[in-house]
This record gives sequence, C-alpha cells and structure tokens, in this order.
Amino acid sequence: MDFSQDLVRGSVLPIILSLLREESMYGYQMVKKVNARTNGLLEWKEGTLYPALHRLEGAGLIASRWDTLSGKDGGRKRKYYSITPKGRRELAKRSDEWRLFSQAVNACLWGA
Amino acid sequence: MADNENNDHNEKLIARLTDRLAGDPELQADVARELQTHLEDAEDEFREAGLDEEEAQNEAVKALGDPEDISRQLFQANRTRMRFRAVVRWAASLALLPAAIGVVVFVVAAPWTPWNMPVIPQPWFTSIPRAWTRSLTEEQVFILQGDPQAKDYVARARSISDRWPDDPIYYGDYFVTAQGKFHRKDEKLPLDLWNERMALAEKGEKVDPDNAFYNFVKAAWLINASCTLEDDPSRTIESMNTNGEIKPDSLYTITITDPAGFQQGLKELHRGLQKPFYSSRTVDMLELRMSFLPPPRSMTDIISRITMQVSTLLPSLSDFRTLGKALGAYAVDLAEQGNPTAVKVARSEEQMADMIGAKSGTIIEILVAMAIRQNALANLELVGKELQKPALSKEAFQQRREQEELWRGLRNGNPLSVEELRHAGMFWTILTPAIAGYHVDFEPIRTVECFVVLEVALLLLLVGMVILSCGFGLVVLIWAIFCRRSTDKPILLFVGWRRIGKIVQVSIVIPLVAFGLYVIWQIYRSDAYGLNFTLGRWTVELVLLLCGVFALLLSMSYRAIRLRCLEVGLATPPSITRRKRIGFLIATGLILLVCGIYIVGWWAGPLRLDYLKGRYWIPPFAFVSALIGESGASSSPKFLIETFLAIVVLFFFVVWFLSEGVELFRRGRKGFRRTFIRSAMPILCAAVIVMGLALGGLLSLGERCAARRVTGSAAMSIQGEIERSDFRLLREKFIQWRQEDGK
Repeated sequence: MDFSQDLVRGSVLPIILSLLREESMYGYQMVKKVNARTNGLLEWKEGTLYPALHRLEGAGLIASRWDTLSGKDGGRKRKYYSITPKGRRELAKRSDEWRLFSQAVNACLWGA
Repeated sequence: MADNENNDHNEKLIARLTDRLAGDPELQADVARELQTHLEDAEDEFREAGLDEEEAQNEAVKALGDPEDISRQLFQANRTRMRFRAVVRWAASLALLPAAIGVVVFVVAAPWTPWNMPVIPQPWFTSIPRAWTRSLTEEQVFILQGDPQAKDYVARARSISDRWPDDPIYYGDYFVTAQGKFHRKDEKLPLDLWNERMALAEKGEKVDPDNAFYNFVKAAWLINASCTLEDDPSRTIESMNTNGEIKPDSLYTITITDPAGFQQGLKELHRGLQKPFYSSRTVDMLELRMSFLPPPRSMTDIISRITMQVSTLLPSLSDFRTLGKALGAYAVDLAEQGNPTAVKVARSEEQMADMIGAKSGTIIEILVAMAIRQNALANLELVGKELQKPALSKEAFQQRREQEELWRGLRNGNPLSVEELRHAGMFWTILTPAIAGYHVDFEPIRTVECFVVLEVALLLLLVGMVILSCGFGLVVLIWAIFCRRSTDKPILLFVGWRRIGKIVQVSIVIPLVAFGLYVIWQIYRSDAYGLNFTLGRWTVELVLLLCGVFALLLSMSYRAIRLRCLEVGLATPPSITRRKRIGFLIATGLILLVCGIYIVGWWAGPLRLDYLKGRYWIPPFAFVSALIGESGASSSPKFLIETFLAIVVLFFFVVWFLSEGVELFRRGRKGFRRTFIRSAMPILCAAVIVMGLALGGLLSLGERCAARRVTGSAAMSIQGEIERSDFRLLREKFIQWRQEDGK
C-alpha cells in the first residue's frame, strides 16, 4: 500500500526520534528496523532518510559520531546517530500532538 | 574485477548524490562516506539473500531511491549547516591566529609590555602608572607627581609647593630637590646662585618656622665656605673600631678665611639649636606619597614602589658632617687660646648631632648624626684637656666609648643568616639590607615570585605554540596563493568537540592541574625555599611540563586529525602498530616508576639536592658539564640522577611524538600532511586562547592576591628601616641624649 507523500513526510521526524530513544543507530539499521516494525507497510525510500537525519542534526535534535562496532563485517566504520535532550523534548511534544490529532481524526472518521 | 567495477560505479553514484555539497569538502566527504557504508551494508544483505554481485548492487541502488531527488534533498537539508560551517571555517582560518596572538600579548605578556613596565618615579619619572592613579583624587595624583606639564623634576616638585605654599612638607621636598642646581665640586658658587640658594632656605624657614633644618643648612653653607680643614696629627684621640680594637684617630685643624661669614654661620647654628626639632621632610613626603597608593597588585607594582623609594632625594648630609668637623676644630682652637666658649661650641656640635639623630627617618641620617656626635665628643675631650678641666674630658671620653660600644653592638648584631636568606626569595636576597636585626617577612614576595616564574613559563609555552601556528598559517597561505589549481588541496577538518575536549583534558588540564597542585604545595610548605634556591628544581620540572604539554598537544591533535581523515575517507598514514604501542606503554610505565621512586626519595630525604649553582641548572647543559667535569658544575650523584631523568623523559616525549609524527614526513603523504597542517593550526590557536585566558587570568589573580599581602614587614620600605631594625635602639638613645641636652 502506498501512503500519500505528505503523510509519510510528516511521520519521519517522530519515527526517527522514537527509534533513537532506545539506542544509537546508523542509517541502514534504522531503515531495517522501520521496515520490520511496520511489516513493510511504511517502506521508506532509503536515500531520503539521510536528508532527514541531517536536518534533525542541524536542528540539534540528534547528534552523530563515527564509530566502529566489531562484528561480522570486520569493524566497518559507521555514522551513529543518538538523540539529544532537546530531541527527547521534541519527541514528547510530537507524541502528544500525534495522539490528539489521531484521536480527532478517528472521531471524525468513525464517530466517537 | 567485478568488485572494482562495482566500486567505480558506487563512487560515481555517490559523487552525483553529493556534488551539490562541494562547497564544503569535509561535509561532502562525510556524507559520501555515510552513503558509501549504507550501500555496502545493503549489498551485503542482498548477497546474503542469494543475489549475485551485480544484482545485489543494482538492488541496493534501487532501494536508495531517485539520485536527483536525494541530491536535492541532501543539499536542502545541509544548506544552513554549510553556511554556518563556512563562517566558522573562515573564522578558524583568519581570526583564531590573531586572537591567539592577542591573548598572548594582552593577557599573558601584559605585565611585561612597555605600558605596564615598572616606572622609574621621582625624580626621574615621567608619569605614574594609570592603575595607581585611578582610585586617587586629583589632589593626591598632583602630590604624587606634580604638574605633568612642568619641564623637569625640580619644576614638578615646585608645582606642588606652589599649589599649597604653606605646607612645610611640600616645600621641604622642593627645597631638597632644587639643591642639585647648586652643586659644585671644588669650586666656589657664583654670587647670584649663592643668593638664590640662601633665599630658598630663608623661605623654608618662614614656611617651617619650628624646624631647625634650614638653619643647619645655612650654617653649613656659611661655615663651610668660610674656612678650610686639614688633618692634624697633633690632635689625636684613641677610638675603638667595631672589632673592639683601640686605634689612634687624628682630628682636624681649621683655617678661617672669612671670619664674618664664619660668625654668621655660628649664629644660624645657634638659632637652629633653639628650635623644637629637626626634619629634612623628605621622609615625611615619601610616607605621605606611599600612603596614597593602593595595595600593590603585581610584581611590577612592588618594583615600582621600591624604585620610588630608592630614588627619593635626601638632603646633602655630608655638608652637616663638614660643619661638625669645622665646629670641633674651631672649639679646640678656642680652647688652645684659653677661651672658655670652646666648650659651648663643641657642645653645639653635639647638640646638632642629637637633634638630627632624634628625628632621623632613614639609616643614613642616623649614621651621619652618629659620626658628628662621635667627632663632637672627641673634640670636647681635647677641649677639656686644653682648658684643664679633666672632669669634662673624662665625661666626654666615657660618652664616646659608650657610643662606640653601641655601634660595635649594632655592627656585630644579628644580621640575616645565610640559613634565613635561603628562604628569602630572589628579591629579598638581593635587597635585604645588611642591617642588624632587620626584620622581614619573606613569604609574600617569595610567593609573588613563584607566580611570576609560572607566568613566564606559560608565556614561553604559548609563544612557542603561537610561533608554530604562525608557521603553519604561513604554509597554508603559500599553498592558497601558489597551489590554487592543485587537486591536492588541503582540507580544513573539524575533529569534533568530543575530541577537542579530550585533547584539552589530557594534554593541558591534567598536566597543568597536577603541576599546579605541586606548586601550591611547594609554595605553602612551611620550609619552602626562596626562589633562588628552588628555581633550579623548578626549571627541570617546568621544562618537562612545557615539553610534555607541547608534545601531547601535537601528538593528540595528530591522532584526532588522522581519525577524522579516516572517517571522511581521506588517505591516511597507517596506525601505530600494536607492538610499538605496547612498547611505549611499558616505557611509560617504567619512566613513571623511576620518577615515582625519585620523588619519594626527594621527599624522604636521600635524594634531596642542596642547591644548584649558576647556569648549571639547565638540565642538559648541566648534565653534559658534569660529565665532562667542567669546573663549577655540580657533580653530585643526586644531581646527575635528576638531570638524567629529565633527559630521559624529554627524549621519551620526542620519540613518542616522532614515532607517529614521522609518518607526516614520508613521501606520498603530501595530501595528509597538508590537511594536518591546515587542521592543526586552529586547534593550536584555540588551545593558546583557552590556556592564555584561563591560566593567564588564574596566575595573575594569584600574583595579585600574594602582592596584596606585601605590606608592613613584607614590603621594602626606606622610611621603616629604623623601626624594623636594631637601629631603633640607637634612635631611642638619641632621643634620650636630646632630652639630656635640654637640661
């Protein structure tokens, strides 16, 4: 199922922040996780994740560092993103916003 | 083969995705590297799922999305950041170096800049430092320096007296200052100048009517100008020197050339002797001026105060001595003629000495008073003999012997011992007067000295870093001009706040805090030695500290830049091998162990040095000198241990740095070398700024706190010399003699 572009774009920010709330991740890892969690319903174009990450980093909501985690790929250096305190506050705000918004939309669509 | 093609293909794709970011090479490389790892991860996964190399690559690229769209979005997402980074890059390239130089000049080197140098005040000064005058009233500033427009120091002194014409202190200061003009050696003063000088003294008598000073001065001028004195071996007395030996001492004979002038001089003297007191006023003026000044805030303040005191002009006391000799010789002449007024004349010399001694404010005054009194009593003894008055002669002799004993006691009293001087600090070692019982609190100035040494060390370190930064900056500038079209353009890399924090912490904060604690312990240890004795040891430690900070800073910057290069995919030299690293760790451990043993040995005593001599405290120099047995070099084994240790540690720093840094100078490292030089400059400059502001501020605060305590017995004071030494006993005696004169 293809969601409308606007809907997807609006959801990128809270999804990235909520992913990073749990642990630091690199871009590819995030894509995989989102696809797994949403059973592929929310299939991102992988390349568009990076501009979103950079925008969030520029706004100070997330921070990045290059790191090596030893593993099967022999310690490939990857850029890990982590959430900043400012990002956490933003996430809390967005979550509340989303809950209220979806309640309102649900109420309109299917009645209370 | 397929792998290479894949890489080529990926590189082309990534170049296309990031070409809009070309304005910021570091960011472009960073994003490219990020996308590269993404593609590699994706390809790996597709391969694991069973696709072949080419299919895996195609799928990975497909999953990435539309290249044109991503490229545009990447640019939009990073646009603001690129602008900000461009500004920061410009600032780092252009503003940091001047800022670093500014910090070094205006913060760290401030005490040694011309506008803060110690002033040479009265009578040669040009102006009082602004820092002193800020808190003073206009009148106080005027009293300190006179009219700044005046043409010379005499005119300045005069301007103060002109403004407050009734004040005896200001006039006295002017009077003494003005005497330079009338000084002639073996030559008669022209009449107009003689009259001018007399008029000055006459006016002084009006302004300060109770002070005998001007009468004594006039008497000295008149009498000294109207007679000549010669040694007379026929008039010999026995006097005792400071070793208690009795030796013959000859007195003078007088030839009066102008009897009228001589008699006038005698009249002046007797008028003076009727007055309540004698004071040359110069010490009063100095005390007044010093009382205006705020507490000292730095070593230069302390030095300025001292120059202000030592450059204070005293009246020509030798005139009084000659006057005394003339009076004594005249009294003996009178006695030889059987004239009983001889006793009165000789007594008048003694009374003059007592008046000067009882109110003397400086050691030199009291010494002159003592010499005059000595001469008066010797002449009185002869007068008694000539007039057949053995009682008078005996009394004079006993009084003279009493004074000689007193002087002998003062001379052989307890001046500061070498043991005490060890704690004195450089300053007091030089300046402590060889005066019996002189009491000094060495600690405050010694502490100020310590801070000054640390400031100098910091200055040396920062100047070294600034010079290196300037060198780097120059190289970058040359590339910018001559290699504009080169593909090997150096990139200014930002190594990240985390790494900068680590560099600052490990290479600056930890060594300096450790050294600071050591220094504080040294300064406040109850048995701290003066700087002249501790400087030898401190030099070794300071050299180690400075070299250590410098080497750590460079090698850590090197490592940070190398890692950053790796992250953004630039070519870098290989990392230091594990074997080398372990070797270095073991060497570090061993050196630390030996140093530890040495320091414990120092504390416990067996490795303690006494002190080091002359230039031989410069470690490598001293070591070599000691080895080749140059005379003067200390050859004690303890000294060798210390200098050897210093050299080992220094050598270690050098090897440690070179083992990594040597990669910079290999062929084929041009790109990395340039990137290193370009990126290290801002790090060095930032370190200079941070250290200059933080440490420079901290050290000058410490210096200020210590300098504020330089008061009372910790400060050098000419006007307090008598009070704080055994000479106060002599002055008490003079006060007593003066009271006896009045009876």
